[in-house]
Amino acid sequence: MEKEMLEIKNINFSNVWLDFEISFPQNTFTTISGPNNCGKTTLIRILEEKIKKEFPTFTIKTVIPEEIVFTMNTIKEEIELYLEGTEFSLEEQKTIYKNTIKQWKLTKLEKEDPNQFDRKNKIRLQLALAILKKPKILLLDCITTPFSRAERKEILEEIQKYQIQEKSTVVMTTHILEDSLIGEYLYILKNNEILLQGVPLEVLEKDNIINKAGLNLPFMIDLSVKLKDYNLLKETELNINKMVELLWK
Amino acid sequence: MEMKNYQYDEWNLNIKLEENKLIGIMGEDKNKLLEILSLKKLGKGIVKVGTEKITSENILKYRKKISYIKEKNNYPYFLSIIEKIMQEKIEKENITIKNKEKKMRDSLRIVGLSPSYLKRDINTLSSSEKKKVTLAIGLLSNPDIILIEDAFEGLDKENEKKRIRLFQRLKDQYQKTIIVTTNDSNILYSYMDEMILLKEKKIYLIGHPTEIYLKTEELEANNFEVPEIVKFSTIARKKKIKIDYHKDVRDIMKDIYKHVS
Repeated sequence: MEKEMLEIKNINFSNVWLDFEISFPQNTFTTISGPNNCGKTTLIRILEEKIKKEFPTFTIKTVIPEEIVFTMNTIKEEIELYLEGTEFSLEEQKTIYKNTIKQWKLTKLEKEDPNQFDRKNKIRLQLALAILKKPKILLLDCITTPFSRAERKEILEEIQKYQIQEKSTVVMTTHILEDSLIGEYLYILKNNEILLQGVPLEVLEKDNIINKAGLNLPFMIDLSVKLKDYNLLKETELNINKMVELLWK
Repeated sequence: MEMKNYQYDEWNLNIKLEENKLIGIMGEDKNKLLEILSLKKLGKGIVKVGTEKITSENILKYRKKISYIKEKNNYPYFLSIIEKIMQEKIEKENITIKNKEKKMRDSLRIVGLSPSYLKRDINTLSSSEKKKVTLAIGLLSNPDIILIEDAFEGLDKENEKKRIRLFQRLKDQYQKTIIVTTNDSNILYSYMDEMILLKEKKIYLIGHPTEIYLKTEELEANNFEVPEIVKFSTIARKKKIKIDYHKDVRDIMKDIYKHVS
C-alpha cells in the first residue's frame, strides 16, 4: 500500500512566493538540509503552521533549540506539567519520569533548573517532552548541531525508534549531511529552491552538486564516490573496515 | 599562558600554551576549561602570562588582554542593536579608544561584515552572522588572547572555511592567540596548531593534532572521536598498506590509487 503523502504546496518564504512543493510520506523520517541561511528554520515554522491548518486532527510537536524555554524548576515538575490532563495515574507518571531521564541521559540533572541547562541538555529535555505526548508529526530544527558525532547517533536513533514505534512522521532540518542517513528521504535546499531530493544515499552521491552547495559530504561517501569513479569500488561503503577489506582483499 | 598546580573548582591544571597559535579544545567540560583560561575568576596555584605571575593585584590588567566569547549571549531588547552593544562594552570595560566609531567599523570589517551591521538588531541575525558579530565585539578591546566557545557550531563547510581563514589572519596578521572549543575532530585535525583533549576534568592529551591522532586506538578506547580520514589510514596500515595520513580526501584518494593493485 502506498504511503499517504503529506503534501505541502506553495511554500511562502518571507513573502517571496516560491514555486516548489514539498511533500513527505507519512510515517517516515525526512531530512531537509542546506547551507546556512537557506531557510531551514523558516521552513520548519511554515510547515508547522500549514500542517496545523490542513491537518487539524494531527498532533504536532516542534523543537527549535533557540526557542526552548521551560516553565518549571525541575525536570520532574516539567514532566508532570506535560502529563497533566492525560490518563496516566501518579504511579505511571513516576515510571514515565524515571524512564525518560534515563533514556535521555538527564539523570545527573534531576535537581537542576532546566532553564540553566547547557544547550545539549535543553534539547534532550525538549525532545523527551515532545515525544511524551506521542505526536503524529515531529518537526525538528537543527537539533543535532551542538552534539558530538557519537551523541548525534544516539539522539537520532532514539528519534527513529519513536518514529517507527508510533508510526509518526518526522521532519528534521540539519546542515550535517551524515544525519540524513538515518532517514528515508532527503531534500537539499539552496537559494530558496530544492537543489536535490531523494533517498539519502543516492542524493549524497551527487558529490559535485553538494560540494558546490557548500556542504560537507560525509567522508566515507566522498571517498566511495571517488573510488567508484576510478572503478576501485562497486557500491558506496560506509564502514571503514569493510572498505579496506574490499580494496585490499 | 602557563598554569602549574592550578586549582579551580574541581580542576587541577598543569598546562603551558604558546602564544600566537590556533588551539582547539575537545572533550567533556571543554567550555569550562575556556572559562578557567579567561581568568574571570582566579583559582589557587600558579598562573603566568608571559613571564609574569598573575595575582589578585595584577589580574585586571591581564583580563583586559583576554576576550572570552561565549556561544550564547542573550541580549535584552533595549540593548540588542549592535552599535549599542559595542558602545556598552567600551564603556563598561573602560576600553581606551581614540576613535570609537572607527574602531567599531574596523572590528566589523575584520570579521567580514559591513558597517551597516552597526544598526542591526543582533537577535535578527542568522547564527553565522551572530558568530561574526560576537567576535567583532570581542575584538574591540584589542585582546592578545581570544577564547571562543563552540567556534564552529552550526556552520556549513563554506562558513567554516571562512572562519578558519579569519582566525588564521588574526593569528598571522594581528599576532593573536586563538583558543576555541569544538565537538568536531575533523576541525582539530585539519586546522589547529595545537589541541587539547579533556577527560574527567583533566587534560588527557595536549599536542599537535597529527601526533595526537596517530594514537587512534588509544583515543577510541577512551571514547574520543577520531577523524575517519585518520582511521582509514590506521586500518590500512594495520594490513601493511602504507597509506599516509592525509587531511584531504583527494590526497588519500591518490594514495589509495597508488596502492591498489
